[in-house]
Amino acid sequence: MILERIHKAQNGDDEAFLELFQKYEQDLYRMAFVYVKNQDDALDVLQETAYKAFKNIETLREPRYLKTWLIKIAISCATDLIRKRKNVVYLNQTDMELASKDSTDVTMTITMQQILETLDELEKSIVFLKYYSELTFKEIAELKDLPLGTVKTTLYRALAKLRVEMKGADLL
Amino acid sequence: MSNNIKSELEKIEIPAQLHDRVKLGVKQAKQEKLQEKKQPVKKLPPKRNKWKVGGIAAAAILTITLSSGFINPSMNQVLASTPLLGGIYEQFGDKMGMHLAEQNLVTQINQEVTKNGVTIKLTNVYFDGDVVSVTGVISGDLSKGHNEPGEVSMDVNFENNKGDNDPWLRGMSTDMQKSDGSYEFQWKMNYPYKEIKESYKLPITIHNINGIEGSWTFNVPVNQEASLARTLGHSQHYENEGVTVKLQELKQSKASSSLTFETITSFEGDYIELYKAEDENGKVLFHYENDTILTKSKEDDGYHHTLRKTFDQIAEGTKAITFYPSLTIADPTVQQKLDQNSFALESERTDLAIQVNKVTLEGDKLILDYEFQGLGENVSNHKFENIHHNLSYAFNLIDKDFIDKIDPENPFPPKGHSISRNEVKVIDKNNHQFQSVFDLKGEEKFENFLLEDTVLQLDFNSFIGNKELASFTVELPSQMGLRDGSLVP
Repeated sequence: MILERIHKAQNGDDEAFLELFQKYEQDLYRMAFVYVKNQDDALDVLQETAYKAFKNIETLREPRYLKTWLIKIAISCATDLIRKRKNVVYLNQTDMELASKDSTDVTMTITMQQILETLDELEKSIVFLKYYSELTFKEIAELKDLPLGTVKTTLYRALAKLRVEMKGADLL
Repeated sequence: MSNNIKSELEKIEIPAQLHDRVKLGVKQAKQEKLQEKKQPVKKLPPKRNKWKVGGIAAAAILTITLSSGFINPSMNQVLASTPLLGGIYEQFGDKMGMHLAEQNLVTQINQEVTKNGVTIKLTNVYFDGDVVSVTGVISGDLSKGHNEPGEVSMDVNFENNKGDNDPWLRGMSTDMQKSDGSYEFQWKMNYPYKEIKESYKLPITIHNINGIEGSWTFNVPVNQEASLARTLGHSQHYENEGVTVKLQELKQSKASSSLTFETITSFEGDYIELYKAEDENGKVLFHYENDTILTKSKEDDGYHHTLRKTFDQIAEGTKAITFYPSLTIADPTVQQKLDQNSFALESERTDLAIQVNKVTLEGDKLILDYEFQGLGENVSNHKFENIHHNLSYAFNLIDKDFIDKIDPENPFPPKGHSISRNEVKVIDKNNHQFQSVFDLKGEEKFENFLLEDTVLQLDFNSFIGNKELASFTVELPSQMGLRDGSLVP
């Protein structure tokens, strides 16, 4: 069924494409929101993601990678939008220090605000892909074009920033 | 833990117009595909959807959007007992509105104006602490306007102000929901003046909706019950940084608390943020809440700002609050005329410097080879990545004849005579050597480029981290808080 829809979409059938896209659009929207942090921009990112995905659906060779392919486009659109706005990433000494502190805090409940405000772009996307999209480290590494070790280190750093007591199982 | 993160991310609300926007993107791609079959076309950027009125800080929107995610268990009770009015605020995820509706502290106004086939009805207003909310409904034929189906934009002013020069628009947010052919909306504003009048009439004028001109005018009664204000009178001075924080007043309203404080800095543009506060039990009272700037002045002892921060109500019996300040310094932009092949650009207030070793003009590309000095040793990969990224925005190339024409209040580089982006390559990571390439005929164009007539500007601010200042604790006067819904002294 999915294969048939992808085939139709690749032949220019926009209805078939919309049916495929609809399955992922809420997840992609939340992903975009994590990056841009407001509804207007997240909607812009989704419109652009849908535009680019349909424009280039012929280039999708492996239908089983549809989801990660869409995530990749959404990440790229969100990052583009942030950069176009010239939202430079400020080096925050506090964040740097937090990352290296040995946290003795008790486990805290993580809030959305912490995720959005405390983490940088890369950390947010890895936290999102790991815990929301439930991708494996390997899938994240492939999607983000990063070494496996970097993905793990980045996640570790993000969780340290969130002052979460980590459970070993989450990093395996 | 992973479940906690996932459930927190799931609280991001899905806007009703999401699928329509996806369809728009697909429609645009489809049209272009069809055209491309006939002839190659240039891709048009997607049209921005203007749900909001100008001058809205993204952070303010975040606050509103997020509030939906923080409905605490006690809110279930509130919801159960306020089906109608509370529901209006519930749909916008506004827990403050829901609390106030529960306490019958929302005023129903029902003022309606129709112009050019479009009716705007303002329905409810509340005022708590320094937060003013107005809800309303837009109905009628919006198809005559410029916007695409599903898009709504409004041009609004308060108190007969004009354009963006309206203090009510600073930090204002708009939320909108489609409902049976009409649009329900909520505006949230921060009261922009230092002295809060607890009862007044707020004139509102909407100038156009989706480009449909008109003048929808209202005069809305805005009232709140007296808040309990406590003078704090605490002053915290940081000798090394030359800055002072003076806590003036903590106000308890029915559904929120607000803190008014003053900051004094020796340098213009330095910014002190009270980024976090905790009570004596370590409960976080706020974390990166927006400030409303109430006054600004230059006096003998420095630059003064009076600010107000609104946050959730603090608990009854709170004895002390610990504040965590941070300082962001403003480093002036430095510049150098490109009539030399090597030079140094030095930060005025830090040890950072860019030593330009070579300036090369190759066709339409200007290439700078330079070393970033003062970063210290052992720069982490993460920090280095950020530096690498930020360098692509840090430089401006500007025609010397246009430098004076840039408005300092709104410093946009002059179109056609400046380049503000560059591609950065790392040449030697260990020695912090980079190369920046400016495309003079790219997306931005530089007309009649001559090296000797061009000035290179550099803004170091994005390379300077916030400095965390020592936290301080303030004892609160006793009997602080609300009891049984009434204020106690």
